[in-house]
Amino acid sequence: MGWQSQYAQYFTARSMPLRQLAYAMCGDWHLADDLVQHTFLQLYRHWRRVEQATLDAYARKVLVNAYLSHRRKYWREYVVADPPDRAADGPADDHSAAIGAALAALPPRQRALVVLRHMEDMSISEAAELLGISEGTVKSQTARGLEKLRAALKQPALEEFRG
Amino acid sequence: MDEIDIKGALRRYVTTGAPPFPLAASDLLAKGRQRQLLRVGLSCLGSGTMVIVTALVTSSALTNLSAPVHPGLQVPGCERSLPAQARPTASPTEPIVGYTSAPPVGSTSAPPVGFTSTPTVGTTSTPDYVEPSQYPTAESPSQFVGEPDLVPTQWPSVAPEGPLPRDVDPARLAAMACYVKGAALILFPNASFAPASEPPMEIARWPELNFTAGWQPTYSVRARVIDGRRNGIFQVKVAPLMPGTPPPQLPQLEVRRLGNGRTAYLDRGPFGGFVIVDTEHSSIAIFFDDLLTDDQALALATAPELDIFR
Repeated sequence: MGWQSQYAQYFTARSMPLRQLAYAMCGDWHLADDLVQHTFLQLYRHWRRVEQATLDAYARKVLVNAYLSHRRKYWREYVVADPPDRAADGPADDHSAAIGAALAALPPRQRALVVLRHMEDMSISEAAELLGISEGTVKSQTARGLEKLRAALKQPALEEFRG
Repeated sequence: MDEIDIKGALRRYVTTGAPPFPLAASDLLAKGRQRQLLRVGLSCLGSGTMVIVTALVTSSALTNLSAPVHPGLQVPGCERSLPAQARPTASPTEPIVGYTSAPPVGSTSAPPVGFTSTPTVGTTSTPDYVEPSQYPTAESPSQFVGEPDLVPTQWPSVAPEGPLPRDVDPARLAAMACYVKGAALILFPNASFAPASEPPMEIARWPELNFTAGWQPTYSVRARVIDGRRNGIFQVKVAPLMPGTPPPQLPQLEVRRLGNGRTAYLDRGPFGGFVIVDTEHSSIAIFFDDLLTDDQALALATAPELDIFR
């Protein structure tokens, strides 16, 4: 099997989880697709140099770095006086919208850490290595992120969801 | 809410309401191959294999002989022509790969001729969501950290008309424009070129105020590149590097030490970026949207033809 077949198989297996990870971080399906495309183009470029055992870690690192880089570069564009109407591809229900709003209130790195630690089940050491920060920073930032998330999720609209 | 609830909420958030996935492995393989070919093309340019370069340029020029040529393409001292976009302001009719969340970069906000600040590339996209930021906003100027205070300067606040002491010799500017045009023909062999504001790849000059050294000339060569379904601004901007100028302070910049003792600063997101290379006398910036790779931009930025203040 050629490496391009392996690449295609890997895309088939991992593109959707990476898309979900991207969406959890950025909250926008179009941007998530762009981030996934960027990730797989980087994978294409470095495929033969990346060990198969570390492909997932590499792909996640590229994706998270692309998201954080994008946020740094385009943060000014998010500060607008009149927010545009939400596109039709936003969260499908109130619960998802509330979760999205709560995530959106977090700073980018906290948001990434909450998603990596609590959706991707990544360990503290793995998250620290991926983001290039200390384990102590991972713990403190994740704790702060979770605290803010819990506070945001105490809104009345989520009472039903929280059960 | 305990951890299990958080995980469940996140899982539900990312699995409900997802639109169809637009990417396919075959598309990515094709796009990856295309980018790889472009990287190889620039490495040929950088290593000075002029035979290959000449062949590529010639074939590109021959294949585009029938394309309409913009009347402003004739850069002094440079005989090669760029294939021009017949309708420079028209948007491509097909969706643009890599820009699915934003309108074509720079499609509506090309800065006017004679602008006096650094042109901004890729700031016209309108996000379809608004997210509070950890960074200071215009409403909270007191929160700015690390921004130097404005200090009184002895220099006039209005740019002086006429020549400046560090104006570059026209022949050197023409060589710079020629080099950028030649590189563009190799990097984008099937592209057409439209004006960003001035005609494509024509030298633009404007003064910029350096608070210690006064008004300095800045030169730029740029064009909008329309390459199949890609569309973006490709710009080379060169300014004099004053002694004691601190390195760029943006925290997201990747710093690379180059072999010749120079330092490069890269900003590369999924939608493009820029590279800055400081030589002894020049500060060379390449803005390339999503059109180039890091290596291509670096190879271009380190070309001696761009060190025009040497």
